[in-house]
Amino acid sequence: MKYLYLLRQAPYQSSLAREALDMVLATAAFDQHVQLLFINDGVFQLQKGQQADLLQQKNIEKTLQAFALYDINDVYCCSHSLQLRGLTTDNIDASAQVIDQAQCQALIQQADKVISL
Amino acid sequence: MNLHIIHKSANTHQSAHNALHLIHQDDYIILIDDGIYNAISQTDISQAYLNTAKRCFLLNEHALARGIENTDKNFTHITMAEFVELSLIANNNISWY
Repeated sequence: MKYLYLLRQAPYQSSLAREALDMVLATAAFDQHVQLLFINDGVFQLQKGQQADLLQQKNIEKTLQAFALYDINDVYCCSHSLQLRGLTTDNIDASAQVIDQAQCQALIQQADKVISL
Repeated sequence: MNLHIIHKSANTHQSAHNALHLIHQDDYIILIDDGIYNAISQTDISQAYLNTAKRCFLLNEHALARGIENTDKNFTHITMAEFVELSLIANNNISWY
């Protein structure tokens, strides 16, 4: 079963981004094929150089580095969302593969389950 | 076919616009809760949905509750039971809240 997570929330102001990642890791822990698409403000989760300890919060960036341990290798990021927010591939975690609108739609079409968070 | 469920008004929430980016030409959308306001005729967002999705629906109970009658005629009014049916035939239900 192929699970595609649409990760749409910016980190830290609300707990939504953190809780979505917890759900992602739980799904992967049950050996499901997990795919991630960071989109809209979710692309801010990929921002390099986060210092969440200043907010006494768990660092989202560190969680992204744990993906490989959970066999999460399909990590995508929407190019349109990056562009709208003045971000480039230099700003974000290198493990995320930047894809365009058509590729984003194709990703949704091939998924067995789509979870939008 | 995927069913995109729009919960929020485009006047206050970016999520109602963000959905447009991922709606495929074969997909359906349904407006529920405050998403109903996006069906009001002669608004940019209502036309954007109609030009993007294959079919557009709105939840009748939620429109009536809000006293909204001037919705674009190309939005099909459906009941909660029909919404459930629609969600069962969709390949995936994607929420935009």
